[in-house]
Amino acid sequence: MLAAATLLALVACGHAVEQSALHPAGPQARKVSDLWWFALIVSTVVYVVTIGALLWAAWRARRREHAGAPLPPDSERRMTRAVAAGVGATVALLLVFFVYDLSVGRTLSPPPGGDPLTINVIGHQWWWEVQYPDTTPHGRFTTANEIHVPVGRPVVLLLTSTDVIHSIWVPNLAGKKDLIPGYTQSVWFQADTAGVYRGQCAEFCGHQHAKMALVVVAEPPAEFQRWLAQSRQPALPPTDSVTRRGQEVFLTGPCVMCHAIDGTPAGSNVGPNLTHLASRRTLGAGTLPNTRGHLAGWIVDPQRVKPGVWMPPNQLAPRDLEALLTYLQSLK
Amino acid sequence: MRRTRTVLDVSMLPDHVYGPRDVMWWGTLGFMVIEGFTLVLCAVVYVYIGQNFRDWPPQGTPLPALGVPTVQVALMLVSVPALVWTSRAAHAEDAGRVRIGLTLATLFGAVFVALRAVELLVSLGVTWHRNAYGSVQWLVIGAHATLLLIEFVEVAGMAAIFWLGRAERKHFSDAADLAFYWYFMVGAWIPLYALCFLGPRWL
Amino acid sequence: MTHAREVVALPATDHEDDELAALRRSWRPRHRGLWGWLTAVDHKSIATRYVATAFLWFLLGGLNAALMRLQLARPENGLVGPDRYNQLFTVHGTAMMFLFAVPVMTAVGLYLVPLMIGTRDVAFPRLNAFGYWVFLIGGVFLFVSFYLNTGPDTGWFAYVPLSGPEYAPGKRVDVWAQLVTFTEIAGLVAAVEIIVTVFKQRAPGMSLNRIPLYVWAILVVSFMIVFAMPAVAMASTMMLAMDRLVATHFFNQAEGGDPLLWQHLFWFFGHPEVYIMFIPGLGFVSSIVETFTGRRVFGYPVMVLSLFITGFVGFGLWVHHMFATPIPQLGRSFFTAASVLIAIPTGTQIFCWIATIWAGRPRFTTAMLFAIGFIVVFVIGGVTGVMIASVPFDLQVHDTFFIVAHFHYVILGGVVFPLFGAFYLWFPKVTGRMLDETLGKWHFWLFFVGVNVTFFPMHILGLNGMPRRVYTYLPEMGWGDLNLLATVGAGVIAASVAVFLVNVVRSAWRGALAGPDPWGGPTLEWATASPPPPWNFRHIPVVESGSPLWSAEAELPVATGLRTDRREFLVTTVLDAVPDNRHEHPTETIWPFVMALAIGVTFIGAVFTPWAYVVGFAFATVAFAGWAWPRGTKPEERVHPGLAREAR
Repeated sequence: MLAAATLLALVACGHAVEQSALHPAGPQARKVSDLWWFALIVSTVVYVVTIGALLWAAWRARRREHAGAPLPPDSERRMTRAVAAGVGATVALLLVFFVYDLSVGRTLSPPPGGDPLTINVIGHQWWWEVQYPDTTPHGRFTTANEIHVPVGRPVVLLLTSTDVIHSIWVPNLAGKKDLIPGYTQSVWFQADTAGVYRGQCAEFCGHQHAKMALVVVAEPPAEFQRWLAQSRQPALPPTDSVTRRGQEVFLTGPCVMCHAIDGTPAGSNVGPNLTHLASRRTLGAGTLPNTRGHLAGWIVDPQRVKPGVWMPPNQLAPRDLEALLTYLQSLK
Repeated sequence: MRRTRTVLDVSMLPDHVYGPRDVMWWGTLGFMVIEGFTLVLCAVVYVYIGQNFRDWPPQGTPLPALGVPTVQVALMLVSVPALVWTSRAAHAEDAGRVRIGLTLATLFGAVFVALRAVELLVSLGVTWHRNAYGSVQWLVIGAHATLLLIEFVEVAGMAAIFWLGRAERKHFSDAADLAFYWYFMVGAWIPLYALCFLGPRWL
Repeated sequence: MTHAREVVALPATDHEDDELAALRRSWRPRHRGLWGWLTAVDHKSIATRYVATAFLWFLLGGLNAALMRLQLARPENGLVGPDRYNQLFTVHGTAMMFLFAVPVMTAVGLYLVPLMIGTRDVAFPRLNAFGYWVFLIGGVFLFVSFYLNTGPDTGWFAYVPLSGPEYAPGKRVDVWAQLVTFTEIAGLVAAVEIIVTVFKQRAPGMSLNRIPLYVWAILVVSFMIVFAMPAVAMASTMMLAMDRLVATHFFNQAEGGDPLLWQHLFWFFGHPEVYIMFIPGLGFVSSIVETFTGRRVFGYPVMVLSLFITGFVGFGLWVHHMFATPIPQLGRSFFTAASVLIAIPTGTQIFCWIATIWAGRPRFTTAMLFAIGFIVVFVIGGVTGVMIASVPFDLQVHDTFFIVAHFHYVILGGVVFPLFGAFYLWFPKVTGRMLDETLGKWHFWLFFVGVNVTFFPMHILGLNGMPRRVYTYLPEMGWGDLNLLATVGAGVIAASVAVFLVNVVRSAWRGALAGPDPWGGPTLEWATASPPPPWNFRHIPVVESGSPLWSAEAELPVATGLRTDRREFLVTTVLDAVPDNRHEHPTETIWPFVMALAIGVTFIGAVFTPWAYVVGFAFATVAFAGWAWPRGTKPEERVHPGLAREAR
């Protein structure tokens, strides 16, 4: 009881970052959250009754012995009845839970009706590639570690991986699903309230499993459409000498070996696509806020932030680094 | 310690028994169950992997040859009566017949191991590292090969014990248990033969 | 204390003295010192070192856990980096599952089963010694590798492709795969030992309905081992290790292999493994409750049936570890149903214990406190277990700290609490001295508080989004305080284990003398001296009820007539335990140890080269020859060709 009370008190605490199964922001997570509260209450009652019976039995037996009293004559029958009642109650409660669970499963598992938005998510060690497909080539684009979705419209994520198994989990929106190389799975959710929901990889995937996060940005449809239109554009060409120098550093240095910037010759997809890097909220897959200082630190020595990450350290002349930073920050 | 009162005298019970009356028989059975279940799991893996392929064997991988594997199965079936005979001799505690039977079994065992090597290296026509088809073929056939190898070592050793005059009464029971294991070894191979050598043709 | 046995000093007759002297001559260990230790075959000697070794791995695995808790105490803590942390948790899980929880249970079984069923040793004492040596080599191999920074680092279930040749170069995962081989060989050997011993060596009269509940539990577990462990042994030794060593393609998608196949094979073993760990715990609780309430456990047939149902249904749950993978909807409902169903038999047993306590005369010894603590802690793990049988809920908490909390409640509650209770119950039998009850109560309460403080907050962390197997987390996630609390709890657990160790060392040295039957226990192990002599029972007891020491009058009925001039045990029939024949028990030998070395060379060598299998096979053949070759010490047993039975 005390434990349950503590639990209630603790889960009620708010958090700076939205990453909780108990603060549902969509129908998927809400149904599960309801199921959880139901199960918690029933379990607490069951637990209290069971442990109460145990303590009561011990207390009774002790008192009987102190009093030197014999067992009631019908004790065998009483015990049989009590155990049978306990088993019966267990079976009944489990049945109720099972039926409730199946009904939740039934409402959640079929693909959503309406006109769902489909997004491909590809797991990499240790970042998320996010592709927005489109019927026309110029409507498609690729980004990373940030998924924008319109509020109130179901979203289907098609999931796969290019290396090891990952698992996508944005608890405020839906349960997790594995990204398995060679398989494509789907998961769907819908955000009912605008907000930024964090998620992270849930299947152990190597060194930086801990820092493989992503954010889902749920925004009103109009805002989402604006974001979509902007994301479809290639990167703007550099406009001044500093950004020109920065682009040169990017294209002639090691960066281009792994990263793509649409609209430039850089087309590798080993690492995240950087076309609109400056408009993203985080660096290093949800690890650092996207500021100039963090960007500099990340480029120079990513191993310090995420030891074991595939991105190598980069020794750049101070002026080149400044120019590169300015250029990357211009990629809105 | 508590006082005791004798209610039974077991001194007249035998100290050499055969089959399920003997603990060794149960130990043999236990390991047969473990090995048999491992072979079942190997077969399950075979079928599971097989479902990943449209063609079995996959394009470009040859069908296994049937000649040697079929001879192997035939020889195994022929060996069974010889082992039944050996087992009877062991129950009769006839050391002369037992050592002849064990010699026969050793020869059979050697031929089985040799033919198994041919099956893997020649008849199969695929290495374990070519593709997953090759890997599971080697898994199933190789797993059964370990049974052949172990039983071969055991019957050879037992034959040596009888030929060199080291045998004691309990070895009759052990020889009978080797025959018991032999039936399992042969019996397990027949469905696996069908799976690995006939399966790719008929499935 | 109605059931306390008086110790009757018998006026020894000459005949009895002779008999005892003969037993002593036949059964005394043939060698002393190190050689004696390497050649021992007595089940009590093997099992005691087995338990001690498993407990050493528990302490080392616990040290890993302590380091993990320290690292997670604060966000972005820099105590250990991801490379070290990944080894820490993998070795922790691997050691606790493969080197502690299962082996310690079978090891205690190997000690207790012959005593509880009234026989002189396990069925195959040399094989038993072999199993121990293999287990020891495996454990040393894991921990030495870990301390050389070559510890496995892909989690205790080593999912491919992360553990495959491409993403886990180096030898770390090979160490894991072969460690599994070692422990599975040892586990299977122990299972066969226990099954055959229970089937064929029960004391006369111990028909199926008189087998102690603990023996039923360990028997069910042994059967589960026989059917569960081959799956993981095959998957790790013959598939994962081969993918890594000789480039097979079992799990390589590009060549037609399948990474999900690993998960099926692993969990086909891995879920029954949970029941393999805690069913013996249920047996301990039955023994404790029975002994300290002075009453047979209520509902014996139901208790036995529950064990069997748990063991059987335990094989139908493995997919609930894979709800986030592509599994058909119908399959999931089936596995949900099975996962919900399994709560019923365990719940039934708990109700029966409560009824027993109600009707009995409970004595609240430390052992009894651990049994009650088991119910209080384990039921929390049980109800969260029912919750995660639900697919939608599981998809939220799968692979989070909620699961970490759940299985620690199950394992600490279901395995470690009963195990500690068993220590307090049977330590006097093993050593002849009592564990200190005051220290015992400190041990219990510290452990009880520590476990709850450590693991209860993890439920909340999981619901609040903390995945498992993370070496750190960002400060803004808000997980810092609960993690700190959990770390404090881990410190309390460490303190309780320290109290326990002190208690064991002090009591073994100068604890109160126990006598044969300090608790007034119902089962046969209390009918012999503490510690028992190498022959266990001078005369094999004859069993007339399910609690033979309570139902027997002043005198215990026994069977005589086993030879004393050689080691002999009595073999009885499977169902009714009717005496059937006498079997000779082997003497001390070095060959099981040599055979274990051969196995060690094979599988440790196989980390580096496939030729190790060839060398190892040759070595093992030599060891086998040494093991099986007749010593020629019994000329009267020699047989000669031409002399068939009829002729003699």
